Amino acid sequence: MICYLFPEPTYLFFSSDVPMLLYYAHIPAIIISLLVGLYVYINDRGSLLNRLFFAISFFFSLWALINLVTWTNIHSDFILFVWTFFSLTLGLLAIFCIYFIYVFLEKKDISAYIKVVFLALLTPVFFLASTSFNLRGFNITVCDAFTFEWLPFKLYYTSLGILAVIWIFVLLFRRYRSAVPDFKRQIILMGTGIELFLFSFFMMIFLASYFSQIEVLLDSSLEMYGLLGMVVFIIYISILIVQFKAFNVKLLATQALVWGLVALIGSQFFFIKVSMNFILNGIGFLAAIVLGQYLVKSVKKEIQQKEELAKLNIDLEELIKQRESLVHLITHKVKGSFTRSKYIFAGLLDGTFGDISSDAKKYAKQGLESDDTGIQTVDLVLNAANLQKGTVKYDIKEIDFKDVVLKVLAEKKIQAEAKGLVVESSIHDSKDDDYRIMGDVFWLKEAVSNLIENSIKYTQAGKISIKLEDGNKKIKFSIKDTGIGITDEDKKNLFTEGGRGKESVKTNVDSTGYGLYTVKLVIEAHNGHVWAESEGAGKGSTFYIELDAVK
Amino acid sequence: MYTHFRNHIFFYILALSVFVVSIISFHRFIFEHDYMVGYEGVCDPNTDKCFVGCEDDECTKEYYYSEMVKYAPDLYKECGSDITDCEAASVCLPSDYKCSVIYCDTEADGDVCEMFTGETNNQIDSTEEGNLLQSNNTNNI
Repeated sequence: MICYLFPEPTYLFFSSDVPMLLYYAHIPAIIISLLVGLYVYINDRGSLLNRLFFAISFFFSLWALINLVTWTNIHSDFILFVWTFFSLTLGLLAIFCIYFIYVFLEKKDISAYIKVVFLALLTPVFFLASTSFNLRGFNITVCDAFTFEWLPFKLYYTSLGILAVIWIFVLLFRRYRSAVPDFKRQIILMGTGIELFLFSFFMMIFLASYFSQIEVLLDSSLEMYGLLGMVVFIIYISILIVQFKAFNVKLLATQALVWGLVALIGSQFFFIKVSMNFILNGIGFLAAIVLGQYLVKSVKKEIQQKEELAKLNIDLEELIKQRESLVHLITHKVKGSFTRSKYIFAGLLDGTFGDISSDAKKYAKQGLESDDTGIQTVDLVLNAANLQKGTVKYDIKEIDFKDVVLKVLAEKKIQAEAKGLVVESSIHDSKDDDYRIMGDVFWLKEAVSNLIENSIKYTQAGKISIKLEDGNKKIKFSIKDTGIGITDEDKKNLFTEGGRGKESVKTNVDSTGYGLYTVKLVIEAHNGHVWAESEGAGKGSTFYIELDAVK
Repeated sequence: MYTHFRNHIFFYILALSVFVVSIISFHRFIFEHDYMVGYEGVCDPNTDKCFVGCEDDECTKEYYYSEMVKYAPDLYKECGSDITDCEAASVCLPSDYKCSVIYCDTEADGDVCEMFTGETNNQIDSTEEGNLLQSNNTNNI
């Protein structure tokens, strides 16, 4: 039947009997939504997230198109056929928004169980959409079907939107708590965008149709404002695209989108009749221009910085690799030279090359000692390099840390006492004390040895106190000396690669700066903690190791 | 192939459902015209309580109407696609499958009702399965 009071539209959409630009604002919204959806989809067709966003854009555009047609067309058969899709598009939009957020948050597809729940929620919509429970008839005088819609069904499918708002909020809230800071920002942006979209979209539609049905409103033109929610969503999606590369879309497209949206808000000027609305829209329009410009600029700058940083990072990794191979080459060559000369000096001393004078033997002994020190230094650097690269394979098993400490102490005590230092050890060994840990004996011995060696080197006189305690699920090893102490400035360099303090270099000219660094790498690889305390220069220092006990 | 189908079965079900709904809806509304049509019928305030409408925004000229609801296939048969100047559209005929005329009810509709003379008639006349249930002839304007 024909709505006899209304003119026939041209090309389905164009009619003189509609609130002109409010109505035609649908067209840019449809175009922008479809363009963004298509662009995101084409950029990565295999991505489920991109496909779901395209589905949301598509169903939103379909809804806007149906809205457009139902407002202008005058043929009841056709309008009713198209009207059927209101419930379908709204139901599908709500479900796809939830699905989209699931995939956005978890980076994987949802379970079959949730899909079944989705289908169950949509089943009434599919079953009733084309029946009289949805549309019973059509009023050709006012040319709409509002009075012939069954309110409970309308309530059901619009409440799917409200369900989506709540469901999505819960999902976002739960994921937010465990998210890393960068993803937290993405969650806030995505959450705000989609929640604003769903809330404004479904609420406007529901309020417009409900109030027009109970005759509080003259018509349902209020629902046309619902599409503004999509504009907000698209803005947030654009930010996510550009700032976080959430959809792998480049900057250029987002610039076009931002300005497209500005054009959309600008188009609202043509249909505003109330001066207050004109002023408000003007403020919104100016804000969109300024903020859009600011957004594009800041995002562009951030992307440039990120790209520069990524390039620098690649360069740095390349440099580190080059340095590592150089260190290996040099250390192996140097170690080879030291070893060769060590055997020459050893040969001279044990008479392999015949008898030599006592003076020559004295120099040969010095040479041998020098070579030993050189080999130890090279080993230290090599070990640190291997630990840093992660090429060291730890042989982790249950060990008694007390045995490790006692063995190292026995070796180093002679060296310390030869220097005139007193070595005290306080290792609790009662039945209750348990020093079992999970660790690699070789590397833990290396770490303890380095710490004791360090104390011996930097203590000219006095004593070294070694302590081992069984704490609450922790084992704490400490070594206290009466040495040169550590200044606040030198503390910054402790445990760093090649880090040598100004004061320490004066005492130990052979310091490599790799000893404590190796300790740190080994202890951290055992999920432990190493640190040092000192009251300042000349006041001695205490080094601590803390490891998890096996209890 | 089977895995691909299983992974996408959710989308296949949705697409199929949308397709089926579209076909049923298209058949119902475009071919069968299976729906009721509401419109303003002719009403004489001398004999019935009529709704009062305005012909322009300023309401300089009023007109009277009743609310007609007729089954679309009947209307197509009686008037074609346009009910303008179709007398059959303003009455419920014995052959109508479903039809009703609603006159103004002061209690329900307030002061918008108008009647100059005669008895009030806010009776809803309807036919079901082709049986005309007419209480009087006042719906024939």
